[in-house]
Amino acid sequence: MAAMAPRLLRWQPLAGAVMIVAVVLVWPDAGWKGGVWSLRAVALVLTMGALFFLDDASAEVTAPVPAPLWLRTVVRAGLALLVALPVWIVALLVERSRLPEVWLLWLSVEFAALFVGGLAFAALLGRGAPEPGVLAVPGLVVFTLAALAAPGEWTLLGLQTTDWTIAHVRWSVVLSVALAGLAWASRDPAWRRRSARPSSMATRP
Amino acid sequence: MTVEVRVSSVPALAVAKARRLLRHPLVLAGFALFVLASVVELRDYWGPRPAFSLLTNGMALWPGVPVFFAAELVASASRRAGGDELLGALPASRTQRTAASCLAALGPFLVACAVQMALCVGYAVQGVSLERFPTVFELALGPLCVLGAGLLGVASARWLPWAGASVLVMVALVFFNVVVNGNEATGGHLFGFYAELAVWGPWPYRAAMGFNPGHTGWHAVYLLALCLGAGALAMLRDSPRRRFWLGAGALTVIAVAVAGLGQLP
Repeated sequence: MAAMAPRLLRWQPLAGAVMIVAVVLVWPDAGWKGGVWSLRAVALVLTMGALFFLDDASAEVTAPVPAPLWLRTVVRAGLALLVALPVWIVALLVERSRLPEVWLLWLSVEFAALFVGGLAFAALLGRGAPEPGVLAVPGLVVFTLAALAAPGEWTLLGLQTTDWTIAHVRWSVVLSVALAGLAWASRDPAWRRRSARPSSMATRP
Repeated sequence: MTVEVRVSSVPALAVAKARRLLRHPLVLAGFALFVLASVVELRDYWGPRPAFSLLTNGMALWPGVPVFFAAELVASASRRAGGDELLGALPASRTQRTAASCLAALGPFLVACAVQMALCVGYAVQGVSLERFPTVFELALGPLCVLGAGLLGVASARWLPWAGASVLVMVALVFFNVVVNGNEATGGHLFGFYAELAVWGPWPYRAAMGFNPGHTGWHAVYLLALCLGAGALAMLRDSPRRRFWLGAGALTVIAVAVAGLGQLP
């Protein structure tokens, strides 16, 4: 499947995202706060590009293959991570000179939560549509806007709060929920069909 | 007779599309987030400067961005569902459907106007202290951004029918805004859509510190010209009257240039 990836995957948006990340990283903005927002932009753009990896125009054709849905989802998510993770590490290396070290860790938690959460949302949408990326990206944007609008005691993206640790505990909770959501959304519908009671038509001689 | 059918189908289609757009989860979420942001500012971060900013540019971000994506999704729904060929057999042409989508963008615009009015009434009732009350042009900036977002979403759906293209458009808009926003001293920030009219001053940015230079009336005309340009761009894609829409587009470019220069101090 990995060898066929370029034909099976919608890789162009992630390639575009990597180019945008390059522009963000060379963009001149002063101070450590600028570095934080640059890395947040990188995390958002990379995640938006990665969501299109779950688009599967052949979903109906591949549904009956022996590989279950969770495996197909994991392979697609893994390939997206294979591209996004090195780019994220490069971004951290570029920005590390002007950021306190703890922020590198916190921003990585934010990126992980966004990435997994976005994939979980796309996987959930993918159960009813072959192109979940197109729908999941606006959802991710709305989540980000909601995080910006959130009140102080629920802040996720603030810089002014002194309670950054609490904010990143919240991000960890988001990450945990996202992982559970991804696992739940990747359940193969065929399992339910197999365990369902046979209909009266099927038992007729 | 055929002409009568075609003429009358656009308003009906527009009403149906506007209803669909207004019920879209992204549009509902966008306006809900604007209300949430207003409540949070009222509670946690109130002052003359944030109060003025919320009235003049808050709508560019919260309802504006979701309305762009919603308009793009609604306008591209038939293509994404593979139903364009089926719709081709209907009396309403693709041009008329595009025109209806453009007119449907007036739905979120009118809602934005109503929300803006409600916010103004709320300010008056609560006696919110402002350095000065925004002018009509300044109050129009937010709803105009919502209108432009809807029209640009339709244009994006018509001209860029690829997955991820709308994201690219939004990223380009954000980049452009970030670039011009650093030029408050020269009035260059008014070339952006999320223009900060009030000076932020020192932390916590709540005090009234005056206003950035520039003519906000011309800025409203600039945004309106951009809206009309986005509409002309959307119509240009499928209309058989390409010269008409090219001419209309050229006029809006001239209007954008004149208003863009006029807004500078």
